[in-house]
Amino acid sequence: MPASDEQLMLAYAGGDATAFEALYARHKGPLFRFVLRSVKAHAQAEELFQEIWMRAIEARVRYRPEAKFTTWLYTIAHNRMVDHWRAKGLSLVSLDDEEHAAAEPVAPPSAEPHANLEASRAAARLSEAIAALPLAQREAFLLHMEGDLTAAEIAAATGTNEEAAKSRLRYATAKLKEAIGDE
Amino acid sequence: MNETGDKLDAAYRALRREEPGAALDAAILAASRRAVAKPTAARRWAAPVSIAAVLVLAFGVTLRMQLEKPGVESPDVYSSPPAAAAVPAAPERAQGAAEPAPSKNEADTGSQRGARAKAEKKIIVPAAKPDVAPVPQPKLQAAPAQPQALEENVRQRRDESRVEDSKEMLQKQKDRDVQAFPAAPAAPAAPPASTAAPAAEGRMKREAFAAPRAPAAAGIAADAQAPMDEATRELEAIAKLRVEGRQEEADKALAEFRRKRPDYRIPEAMWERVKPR
Repeated sequence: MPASDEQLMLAYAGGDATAFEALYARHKGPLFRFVLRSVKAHAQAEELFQEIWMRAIEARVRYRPEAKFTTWLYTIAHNRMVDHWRAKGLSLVSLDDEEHAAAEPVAPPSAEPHANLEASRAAARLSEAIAALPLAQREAFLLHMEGDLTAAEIAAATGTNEEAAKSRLRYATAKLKEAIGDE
Repeated sequence: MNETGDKLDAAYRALRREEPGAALDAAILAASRRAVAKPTAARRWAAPVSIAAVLVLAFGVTLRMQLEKPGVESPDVYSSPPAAAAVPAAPERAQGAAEPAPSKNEADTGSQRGARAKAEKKIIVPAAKPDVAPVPQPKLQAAPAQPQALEENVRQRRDESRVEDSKEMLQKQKDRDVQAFPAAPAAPAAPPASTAAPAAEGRMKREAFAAPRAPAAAGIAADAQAPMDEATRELEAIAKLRVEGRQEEADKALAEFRRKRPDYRIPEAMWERVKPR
């Protein structure tokens, strides 16, 4: 049975560097996508991603297992993103679809080209819809999808109450469903 | 728990799964290793380095002390300069301000300079009032014209000053003994000369020349120097007898001193004062 995130983090705080490697391997993808889909540029996302992990490393001795590790990690991420948005004048940033479209891997040949085309279009619409969400709603949605956080955990990570978190998540979901035609 | 709905969830999972670059991974993992490795290394080395530093320091201090110790007690250090040092200091004190110090232009050693500095301090006081004591003024002018007479005069004053110094020293020594041993007998008996002779000789030399000039320093180890002071006292008493012209008594006292302390080496300056005439 693999060690839990909390156990790994405690082991790392105790000086076990390999525990951090396991923890990083588990969470690097979701955290990176959370940051990347929150900001505009890939390079900026990498910089923010690195800073978030650095903060986590520095704060390792203050970690207490009472909190879920992902909640703790995404709280650090939220705080760093708030700093970033403040520096940007709290402007809404959107995901640059065209920039990422160029880096998209070529889809493998399929027996159902029409289905693939439709899926690609749906993904593009979803990406656009995510980028168009208000900041707080987008953050709540990404925390739920990438961090696998509940409304209560989103509230804890973003420093708001649970009702507000639920409301943001509900609004975001409704808009995105509308964008992909799932109403 | 799915709060977004199956279709939206599936659509989101179908989006591209971006990951950070390998270089970014390496940088973060290296930082994580550094963060936990640094304090461990410091803790590992702190104790050994501290112990090594203390040992090196202790060894250095001990070595230095051992190197310095023989130098202090070496007979060579005090064998000849004290005689020269004692002589110029005394006439300066005796002659007062107006008379020029006869040995001022002589070659200086470190101990001579120290002795002179103390003597000159006493000279400075009357020199500040030349109008109060104008009598020595002609002596200044006559000095170059009559060097032999001046020399005789200096010698006479030197003898007088030695007696004064001896009295002073004895008095100070008494004071120290009283402070060090308020309820003890006046002076302990001299140790057997055959066993304590070499060490006592070195200390004797030091005391003979340093104590009259620096009584405070000598008083620090009054108990350790008690046997030596006893010998000095006896020699001073003999010297006093010589000055008073009681030569027979002085000869007897000197013979008694020799009998009691056959290995005791009388310092040159002291010998000049106590030798049979």
